[in-house]
Amino acid sequence: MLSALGIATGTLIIFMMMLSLLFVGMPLGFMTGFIALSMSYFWFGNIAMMQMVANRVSDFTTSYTFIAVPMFVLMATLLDKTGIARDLYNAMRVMAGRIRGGVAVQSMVVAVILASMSGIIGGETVLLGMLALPQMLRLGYNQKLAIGVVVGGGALGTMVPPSIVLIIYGMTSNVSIGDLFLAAVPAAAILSSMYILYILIICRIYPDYGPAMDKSEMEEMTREDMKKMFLDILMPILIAVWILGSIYAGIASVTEAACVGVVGVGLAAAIRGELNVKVIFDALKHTISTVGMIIWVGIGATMIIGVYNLMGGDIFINDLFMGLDMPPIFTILIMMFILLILGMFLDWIGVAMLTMPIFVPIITNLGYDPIWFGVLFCVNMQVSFLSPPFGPAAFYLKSVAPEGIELTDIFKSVWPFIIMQVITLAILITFPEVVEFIYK
Amino acid sequence: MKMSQLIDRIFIRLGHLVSILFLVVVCISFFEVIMRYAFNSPTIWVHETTSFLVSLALLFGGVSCYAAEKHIAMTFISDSFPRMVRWYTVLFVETCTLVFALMMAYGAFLSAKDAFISPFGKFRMQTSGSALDMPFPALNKGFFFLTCLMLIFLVVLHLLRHLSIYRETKAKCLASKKG
Amino acid sequence: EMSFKFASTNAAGEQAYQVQKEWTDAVEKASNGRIKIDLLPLDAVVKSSDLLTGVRNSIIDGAVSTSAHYAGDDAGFGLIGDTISAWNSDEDILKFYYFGGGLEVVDKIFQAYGAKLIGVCITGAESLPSKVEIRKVEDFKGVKMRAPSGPIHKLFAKMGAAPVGLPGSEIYTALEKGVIDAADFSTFSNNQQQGVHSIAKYPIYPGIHSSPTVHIIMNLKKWDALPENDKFFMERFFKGLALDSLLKPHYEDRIAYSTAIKEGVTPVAWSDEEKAKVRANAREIWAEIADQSEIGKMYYDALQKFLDAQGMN
Ligand code: NA
Ligand code: NA
Repeated sequence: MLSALGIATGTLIIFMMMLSLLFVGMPLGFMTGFIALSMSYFWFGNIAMMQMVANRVSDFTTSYTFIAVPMFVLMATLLDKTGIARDLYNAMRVMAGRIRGGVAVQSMVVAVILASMSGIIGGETVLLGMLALPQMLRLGYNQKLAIGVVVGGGALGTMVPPSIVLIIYGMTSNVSIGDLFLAAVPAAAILSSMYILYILIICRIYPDYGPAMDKSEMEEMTREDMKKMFLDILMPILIAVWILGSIYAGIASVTEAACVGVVGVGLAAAIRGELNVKVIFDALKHTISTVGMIIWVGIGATMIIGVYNLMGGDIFINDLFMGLDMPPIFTILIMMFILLILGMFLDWIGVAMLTMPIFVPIITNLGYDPIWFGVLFCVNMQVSFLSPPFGPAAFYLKSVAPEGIELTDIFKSVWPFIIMQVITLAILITFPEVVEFIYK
Repeated sequence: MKMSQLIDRIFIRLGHLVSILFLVVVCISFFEVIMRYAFNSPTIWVHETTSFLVSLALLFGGVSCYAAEKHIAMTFISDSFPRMVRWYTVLFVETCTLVFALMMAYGAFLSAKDAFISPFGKFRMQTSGSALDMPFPALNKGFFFLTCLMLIFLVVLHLLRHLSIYRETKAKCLASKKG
Repeated sequence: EMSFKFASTNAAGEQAYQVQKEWTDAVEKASNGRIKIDLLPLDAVVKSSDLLTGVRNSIIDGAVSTSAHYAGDDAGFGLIGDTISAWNSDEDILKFYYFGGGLEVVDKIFQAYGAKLIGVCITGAESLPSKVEIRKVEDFKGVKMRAPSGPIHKLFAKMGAAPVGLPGSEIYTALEKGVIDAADFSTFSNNQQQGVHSIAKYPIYPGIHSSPTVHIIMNLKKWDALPENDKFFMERFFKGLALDSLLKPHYEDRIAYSTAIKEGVTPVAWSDEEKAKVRANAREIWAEIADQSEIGKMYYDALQKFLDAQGMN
């Protein structure tokens, strides 16, 4: 039984195994699952432990919120296969006109709108990855910038309310979910405006990152072109209104809204005369192959979290703070650091389960506001979605990215966005008023 | 050789068939929304049924994605290994995957057993315990065990295929050394 | 020296978990270091519905969870875990288990499933946050009500509501946006803390529908391996948890009540007459479950005896 080694050594073993299996190129889901199952046997010396790991998989695959992921993939494929996406981006390009990086900025705005329709990251990243990425590449945008926009923007799904991360935080920490939603708004605003500013600045420095329209091309536009453009942009707006309306008018729950969205896109395609059996089946095929790819990562993650919890991961985290005697702000900084590190290797839900029961009582005792800390946690998880080696947003994008874009390309593109997320985190730690004014 | 690729293709095709479940989910969810909002009579079956159907599609999607060899993996380091080393690396990875699939199948078997057979040795299916009380948990766990068996079958298939290219790889390796 | 891992089905931030954790942590000190219990919060190991199997198979040593979660294994567990509308107050639960023969019957049931019932505690009667004022049974007509487990779902359906089966993570947003009008959530003070009352201003309090019994169970073989004095110690010790779990939510609920009133929340208290109607509806559901489940019947009979003896029938 390895458990005699103690949880600190156990953590190190898992960590080393992950790195070495990653090194030889083992698929991520199989890798984490392999480690989880091996540990479940060798750590506890009880082969029946594998049942627990299997139970967690059943639990994961039947979790209701996950339904939104295939629905968003389906929506995205339909938008893509019917030409709605292409026409939208052509129109957006004209609207952006002479502004360099304009389409990337618009994509970021689209990301924020999408974020207000979904509470998870997977669906949004996939939708943007299929909708925005190929179009930005087609319009000559720099690949790294385009990927960054998609992954950073897609992660906003949990930063802008509604957000499953904030809901889980609220439930594990017993604080007002409504206040958390409110408090997340300024943080999300800071983060997304920083993204937009970055796009504008980088495209000013490197004009070929986000090419603008030629003057001559703009002058050639006829009245007819303009009219078509207006219609091309109207359709997606109507779809957005349809989905947002269904959520904010209390017609559908957030997960149901994803299904309602598929119906909306289907209607739009039908109006354009582009809906047929082939398009539907192509979209379904694409959906199952995409989620099939993603599901292993989720299965692996849920396995390792269960095993690590049972191994005493909570005790390990708790021990790190035992007898810590230092100024409160350092405690916060250490917590942020731990969250960043854990976010590299674990799924956000695992990080929340592991740390929140320990962190929240500590910060509350120190006199900090748990709502504010919840927003910090949420921003921190934005980083975790992007940071290698376990970066869910990157995985989601990989599952739909055009041929030739590898995971490494994605991870190489995300670091400016990670830096902006960390800066946002620093701002929120230094000036808690930024979020506190809104709900206090 | 040909045979194993054919089998892969069959699993991929079956996956396409299973994907119709997503369409079913869209329809019944929309139905639920309409029934609740317009007629104030929510169904008791839609939410549970959607979770169940999606879980089946996800699990089978995982298998068919393995058949299609579509993986989320970081292969940039192992891709730079020399050809022969790479062959051994892939062998190692596939072997670990087989061990993973076997362990998972064992766990899934235990889990399915408890879902179908009561502690008193009688056959009964674990239900959701809700108002609908369908045996979805039992069916899901049973299907998960089936999924694991399919995965084992495919991993063995891919492993054999990989072993069969050993000579070819070695020959290519020697040739490139001479050249 | 023995070290056990128990799983709770309450989330880490919930009062119920904190009370449970305080007591499981204290076992070490109280037993002079002989026994150690590490309590893990909701979903840390397996889903609540798999906990009993987990305890039987030694995946986890014990659980602090209402048996209502095991209703998928036998409908009777649904009745045992949450005997809807049976109790006049939470202390009736403890009376039934510790004096009315409840503990013996339910322990027998758990032992058949490979677990030992060490003791029971409670989470406190749930209040019922609602966006519309519900004062009597008729007011339920057409109310879109989120309800989780089978029996509660049936109860609301019987009273004319339109029960919606949304999962837990969707409740808040659904209530906020008006997809549903009311939801079973948690105790009054938990609801107040999570901000539910700012979106559902007419909570039914004191609650009328649900007060789960939390069963503290342990793997039977591991229990049997304990020396007699430790068995005795554990059973006595967890009575302390039962007491705290009774007092704490009531204490906190009253504090939350005053704050809620100040914030313009209008708690709705039901008359005894209307509550009796609810119980009449619930009674039919108990009987249905007793009909279809052997363990449900065992429990039902013991319960009837208790209710008769207490003049509650
Ligand atoms: Na969102
Ligand atoms: Na990460």
